[in-house]
Amino acid sequence: MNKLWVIAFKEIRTRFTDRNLLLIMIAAPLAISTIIGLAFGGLGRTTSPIRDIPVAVINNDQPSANGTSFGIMLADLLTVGQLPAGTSSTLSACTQHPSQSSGGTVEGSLTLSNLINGISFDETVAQGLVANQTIAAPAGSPDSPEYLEAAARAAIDKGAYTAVVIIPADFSAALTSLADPRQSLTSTSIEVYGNAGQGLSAGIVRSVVDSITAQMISGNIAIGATMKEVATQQPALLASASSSDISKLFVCAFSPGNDLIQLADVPVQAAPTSVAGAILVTFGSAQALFFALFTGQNGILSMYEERKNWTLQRILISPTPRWAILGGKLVGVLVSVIFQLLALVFALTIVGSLIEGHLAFI
Amino acid sequence: MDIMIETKDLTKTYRSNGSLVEAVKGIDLTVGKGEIFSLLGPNGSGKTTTISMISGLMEPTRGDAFIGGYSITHQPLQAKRLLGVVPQEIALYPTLNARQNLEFFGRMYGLSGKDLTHRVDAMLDFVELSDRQFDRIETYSGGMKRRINIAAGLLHDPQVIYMDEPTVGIDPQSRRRILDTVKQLREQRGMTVLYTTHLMEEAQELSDRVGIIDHGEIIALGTPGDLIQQVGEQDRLIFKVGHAVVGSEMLEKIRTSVEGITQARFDPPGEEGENKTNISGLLIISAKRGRKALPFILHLVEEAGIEIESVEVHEPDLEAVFLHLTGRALRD
Repeated sequence: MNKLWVIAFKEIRTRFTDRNLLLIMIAAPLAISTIIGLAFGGLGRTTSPIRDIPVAVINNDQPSANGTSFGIMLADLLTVGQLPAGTSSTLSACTQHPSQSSGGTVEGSLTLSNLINGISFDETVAQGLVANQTIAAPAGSPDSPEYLEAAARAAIDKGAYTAVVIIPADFSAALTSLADPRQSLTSTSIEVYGNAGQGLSAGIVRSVVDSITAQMISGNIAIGATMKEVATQQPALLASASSSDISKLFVCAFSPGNDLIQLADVPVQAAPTSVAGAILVTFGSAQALFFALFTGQNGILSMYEERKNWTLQRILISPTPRWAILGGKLVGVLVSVIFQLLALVFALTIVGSLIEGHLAFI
Repeated sequence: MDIMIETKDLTKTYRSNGSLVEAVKGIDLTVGKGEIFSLLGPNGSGKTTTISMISGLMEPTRGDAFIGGYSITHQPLQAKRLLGVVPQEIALYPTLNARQNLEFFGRMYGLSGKDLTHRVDAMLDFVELSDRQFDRIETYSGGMKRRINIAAGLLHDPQVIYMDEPTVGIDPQSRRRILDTVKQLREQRGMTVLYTTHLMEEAQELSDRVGIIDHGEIIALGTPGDLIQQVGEQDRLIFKVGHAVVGSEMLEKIRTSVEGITQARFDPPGEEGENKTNISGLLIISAKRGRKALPFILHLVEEAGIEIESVEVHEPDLEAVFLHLTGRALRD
């Protein structure tokens, strides 16, 4: 049994005195994890790098018969980040959902105004782009919708914006037709023209537009269903009310940001809050395990190496039972792997703490 | 003399491509206490297989080997305690220092505590590397590595030491030191040495007895002198005679008037054969005792008025014996 421990100790000693092996065991995973953590974690920056996506908005929407303009609502959400002034007064009456759920707090969330930097793309903006030669002057009259749309698309192609959102003239009419059972249903489409070179950001803009319009549609469908019920039970009440009045009552149902069900981020206690730290934890621990496998493999291969160098034969020629040689090897490799993992966790904790500026356990 | 190594009908058979190959064919061998015995053989002769079976690395198919009376197959731990091995390879851990290496191999032989410390110190002194004991092996020169390699085999003070070509790839000074070490082991400690080498002059200088193995069999066994005499090899005397021509009458006179001469011939310069590139003629004489015949030949040649430029005496050695017995040079 004594010889088993002697061989195990020799295994650990040879492994931790081999500088090349130490490079693979400790230095390589540590360096790779640190580089990846810094590269993808943005040097400890605590916010997402995706923000202020430049978006041009062309609102061609005509208010519906009852005066409601969903186009203005969508355009304001994209450019100002909130609903138009008239709507927001009604919105203030809505029950505000707390930014806290039973499971945790919503932390580090990004508002629409932070995410999207939208501008209303009108004649002045188009003329300005033509004047500073960012784009060539499109054909047609400068005050025509076609001129504006062509100018916006050219600006996208030149990289001035990530995407242009073109709200069609019948946008409000189409949505109102959903809410009022007395109108026939019409369909329309919003055009999101994105820059192919900034696919991720353009995709985000498209998702935002999808999300807002989906909420508007679901709100109007809810109103339509309710009004149908009212028409059955209280026809007189429906006759005296306009769809605009009902829309205002139901504004909470389709106003973006007032979802009845919200998903809250529930941060795990003691988890790092920075992206760099998070990447170090996930990638660093994965690297540590990955390189620990290498050490295990190297330990098994060292049997072959020892045979080649004749050190194994030298041990076999000595009065040492074979089970002690094999057992000592296995114990030595196992302990080396555990030491390696501990050393890596310790080193990554130091690196993580240096990046974070405070003690951050990996 | 006490017998330290003994093999009885030691046989190893392999199965290769469906047929049985007998690598070692029933070797019977005895090596006495304090004897230096060299086992010589070309590559593939069965030399390594024989040594591997004697040292317990390989199980014999038939027969047995005994170290100090202990069977290597039935009492391996007792037999191995008496045996030290110095392999041809530098069987050391390069990232550990000399002391750490010796301590590890000492523990493998059951040494510990003060006994281990004392033995390691003694071995480092013996190979004169005490001052470098804390340096990593990878920083040592070839000769120094060889000396630590020898020290690791001697740590447990074995009664039998097997040395496999311990002088390969080192400078002449280190080689001389190792050969002196081998002699010391026998003279000072009475150790039995089993030695293998490719260098015949080493075997001739060190060995009390030599065994030549080929095709798995011992084909010659005895002292170097006995083996040379057994094969009847003769001395060759080569006289460089410049532009002089040695006629057949003169050759006949040398052959008949000097005792022990078996052959005398003259090779003119530029002739086919060994004198093709020489500008002098060569008088080549084969004799049983060349050095004894030399003054008589010189006298006869001077009388004939032939001027001699130089004389070379080639005595037979183990290389010639080996060549004669196996038909191959040792390195083949």
